[in-house]
Amino acid sequence: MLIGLDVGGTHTDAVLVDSQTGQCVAAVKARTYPDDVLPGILEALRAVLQGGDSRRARRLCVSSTLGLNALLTGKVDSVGMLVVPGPGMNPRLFWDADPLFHVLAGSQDHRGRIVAPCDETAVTRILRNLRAEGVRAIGIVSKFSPKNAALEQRLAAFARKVFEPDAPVILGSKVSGSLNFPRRMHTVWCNAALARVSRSFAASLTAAAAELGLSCPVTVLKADAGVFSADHASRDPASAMGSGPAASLLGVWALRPPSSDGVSPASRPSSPDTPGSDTLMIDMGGTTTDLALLAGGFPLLARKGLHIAGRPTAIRSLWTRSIALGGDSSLRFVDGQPCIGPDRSGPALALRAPDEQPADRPPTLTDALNVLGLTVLGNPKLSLEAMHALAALAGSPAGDPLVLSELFVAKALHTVRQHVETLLEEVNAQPVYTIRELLVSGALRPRQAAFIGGPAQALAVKAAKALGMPVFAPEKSACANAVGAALALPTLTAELYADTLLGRMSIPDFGVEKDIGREYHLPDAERDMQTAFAGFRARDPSFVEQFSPCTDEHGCGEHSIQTVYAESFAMLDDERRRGRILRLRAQLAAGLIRTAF
Amino acid sequence: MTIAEKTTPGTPKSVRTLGLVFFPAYDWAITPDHPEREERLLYTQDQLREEGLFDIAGISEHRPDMGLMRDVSRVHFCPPGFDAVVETPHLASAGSAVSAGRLVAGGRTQKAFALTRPPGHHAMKVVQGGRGFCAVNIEAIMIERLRREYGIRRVAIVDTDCHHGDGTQDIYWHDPHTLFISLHQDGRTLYPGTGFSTELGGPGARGATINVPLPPQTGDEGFLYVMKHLVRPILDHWRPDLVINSAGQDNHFTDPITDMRLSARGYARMVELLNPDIAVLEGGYSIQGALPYVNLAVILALAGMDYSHVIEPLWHEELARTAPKSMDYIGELCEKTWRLYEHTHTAPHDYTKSGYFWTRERSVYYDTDGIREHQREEVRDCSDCPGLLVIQSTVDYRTWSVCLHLPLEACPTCRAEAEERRRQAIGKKQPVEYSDRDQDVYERS
Repeated sequence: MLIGLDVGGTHTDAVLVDSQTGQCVAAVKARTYPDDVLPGILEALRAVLQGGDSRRARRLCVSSTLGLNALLTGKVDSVGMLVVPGPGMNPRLFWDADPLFHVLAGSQDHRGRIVAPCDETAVTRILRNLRAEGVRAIGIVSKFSPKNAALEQRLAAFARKVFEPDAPVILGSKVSGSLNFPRRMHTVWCNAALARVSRSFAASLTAAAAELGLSCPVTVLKADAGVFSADHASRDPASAMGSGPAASLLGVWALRPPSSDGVSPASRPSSPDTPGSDTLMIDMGGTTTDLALLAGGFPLLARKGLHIAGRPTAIRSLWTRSIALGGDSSLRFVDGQPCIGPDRSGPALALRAPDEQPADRPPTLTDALNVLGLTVLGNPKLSLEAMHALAALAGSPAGDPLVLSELFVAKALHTVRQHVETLLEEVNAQPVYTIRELLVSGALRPRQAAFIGGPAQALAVKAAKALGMPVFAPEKSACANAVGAALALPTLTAELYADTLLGRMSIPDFGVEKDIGREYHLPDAERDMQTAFAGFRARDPSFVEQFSPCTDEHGCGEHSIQTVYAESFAMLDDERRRGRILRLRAQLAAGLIRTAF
Repeated sequence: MTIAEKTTPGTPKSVRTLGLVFFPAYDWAITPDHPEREERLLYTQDQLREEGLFDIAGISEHRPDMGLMRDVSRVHFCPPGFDAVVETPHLASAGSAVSAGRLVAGGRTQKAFALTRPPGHHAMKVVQGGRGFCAVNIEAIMIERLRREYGIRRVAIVDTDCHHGDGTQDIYWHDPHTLFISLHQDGRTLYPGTGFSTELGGPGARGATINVPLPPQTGDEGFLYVMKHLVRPILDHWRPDLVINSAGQDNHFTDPITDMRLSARGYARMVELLNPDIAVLEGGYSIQGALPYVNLAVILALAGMDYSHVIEPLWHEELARTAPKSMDYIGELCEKTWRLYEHTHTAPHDYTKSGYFWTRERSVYYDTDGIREHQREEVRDCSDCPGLLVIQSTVDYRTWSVCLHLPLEACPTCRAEAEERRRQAIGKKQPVEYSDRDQDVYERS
């Protein structure tokens, strides 16, 4: 039995998924309390476990808005930031005016070498002042720290001397191995600000699970559609922010029926050249429609990272596109042109309360679907009335409510199509850096779409026509996101940097650093990477229960370590000594737990 | 993706929009130890990524399109055949420049910078082989494509590579609609040994080529003086529709194969004064000490952003200094060059007149391939157009080809003359390379 929990804005959903069949055997909805997500989680957990045997649970996974809520409501610690930019751009360009943000002298170069150390007296003075000002968490980021964390570690030692032992001290090299100094600054800040909140959340969650008789690992869903242990999440809470779209994508993925792509055989793509053919994911809610992609059997990740609460971060997340269009979007005419949204005019007029004046607000997309008989929601007569009123206002030849509804629905789908095209353009415009890639790189073109959300089933046929591809809309599942969380596999990503002339190798994501000899080549780097992954897997509780990924024809591939890129550059330094620079990225990609379905 | 967007400015915005085409050709080198090797733009890329440059609103990275042989043949004659000289990396690099140029010409960005390799400014009109790390002229290929596609007419190229841009000079030698200005280390002290003040353009385009040979060890002050007191006034007077910067980063004080003293911030200030629409990377071989910083500073200058914090680790005030004696020399050089630019009606001393044609003979050395070429060049003295250009190219005492170039806006007389020359050459069984820019027709026979 797998337990999935999804904390949304209004509801907290909990599901039990049979790990043999992949079927959702129990689903409950509890309310989400605005100030604290924990009570809702406990309520939902208790309810869903009723009648079930909690000892049979193999894993609990939570997708929550905890971190984001805390950030947006300002219920986080103030963070003293120490940054060492060295030569380059002014780091304050990437930061609001902030008295706790300190730019230190000192620098590391692009190979990670420490060119100038930090002034230690100044550092201690700044730290003491921060402490005096009531700062409870410290973030430390040096430019090029993924290549050499020594400078950051030295600063951290000072911070630990000045602050109490449990004060969070977060290092840039720990939060991301990717090169992007401003994004590391923001990620460090998020992790430092959220450290205490998430520690207490993890502790309460684990305690609550124990109280309910759950002895299984407790995990948290990340924005990259993978899970990590609650303990890990308490150290890296930023990665769990923005897991909503990930849960949704996993939900649709899990809901796709076996052995078919959900469309009749005749309309299936005739030559699926890859087992997990590329799929467009559409999730249409009340206010927004979110697009995501499955490419080559894996969720497509954004090139850079999550943008959250105004901060560009290094948090790995799905490549999504959000459209201000949903079932509750208002319909009106602007300069004689039909216009949908971007504002939400509230629930469909079909659901209008008897005492509400009819002309108060425009009809919604759902009303148009009601008029067309594609949905039967509330009182369709009210929808018809509202469309009549709109037609009269427009005074156009499209005065017939039916014609008008068709017009708006077509317009909505056209908008979705335009955004799909923009998304694919962005995805396919990825720069390339080698002649080989310039000659061969192929474009991603999904040949099918999965469509969920309120209006999905009503729109599926029309969407297929508008998008020019088969569209599968699974049976309405109220708790798809929770199912997605229940079935998610762990993910891991790591970068390796090696410089044989400096005799140094580092895998910042795992905190691995070691000395290497002149004869260190790509196979050595790949081996070190495998070892580091294995070490992490052995230690991290989210891997304790060994789940295998589903490998059916449309599922993901092996859940093994994939090398994303492995590059080796011959180098010749200024003294004409020969060496090599190696860069490697490896990952365990997102996937679904294999079930017998 | 964006969640709960607030107005907190975590992302800075550039003053001008800038498109970058970064193509480091990580799988290509001339030879493993050659300055033009895989590693060359590696540290630049690391620096740009680590800076978070591509998160700045207004700065975007673009994928290059592969260059087309048609784009190459618009610019060059290649008697051995393009297949023998032009390799995929050259096309990729030219394609990167073209992609950058199209961003600006097509109105997608206000500025563009092609950070690409291999470079191209030593590639001349006739290409018998590789010269000075270059095979085809990536700026010229870009310019002629933009002229064809967007109808741009007056183009100025300012070459700030430490080496004289002899290839670009040669391609536009007879073109009065293209202004070429080269700032470089004096040819008496550095490859390719040309680029003296008296090289002012062909008989029909005198003053459209300007050379500023600077003394060795010229630093920020010297370069900025030339930019302010010579280049800027010439550009303001000449009024180009488009300004291209052949951005060689080898004037840096750490460059291993040159002897100049420009700093990263000096480069940025120079770019700021020049205000080019499009920059194309040329040389620069201090790949660790200079390129990451110079390229970053130039990018920030193009985007109109603050570059004052881009201070290279090895920088020291003394290292970027121009000697007072050099400053005097540079002042005089600028005055002399301005006079030459203003008084361009003097007869070209390096040509002799025979009939309607100005002629000269010269020899070109292709250092990459060790080829010595002899050229006899004739250009028609025409009052209606820039004039038919005829180049007879000889390698190893064998006439390879008669190259006939009809420039844009060619007059009917030159056109008829070209046909006549072509017929004659075919009659003598000589190979002919024929290029007609107006019709965009390029043929070999």
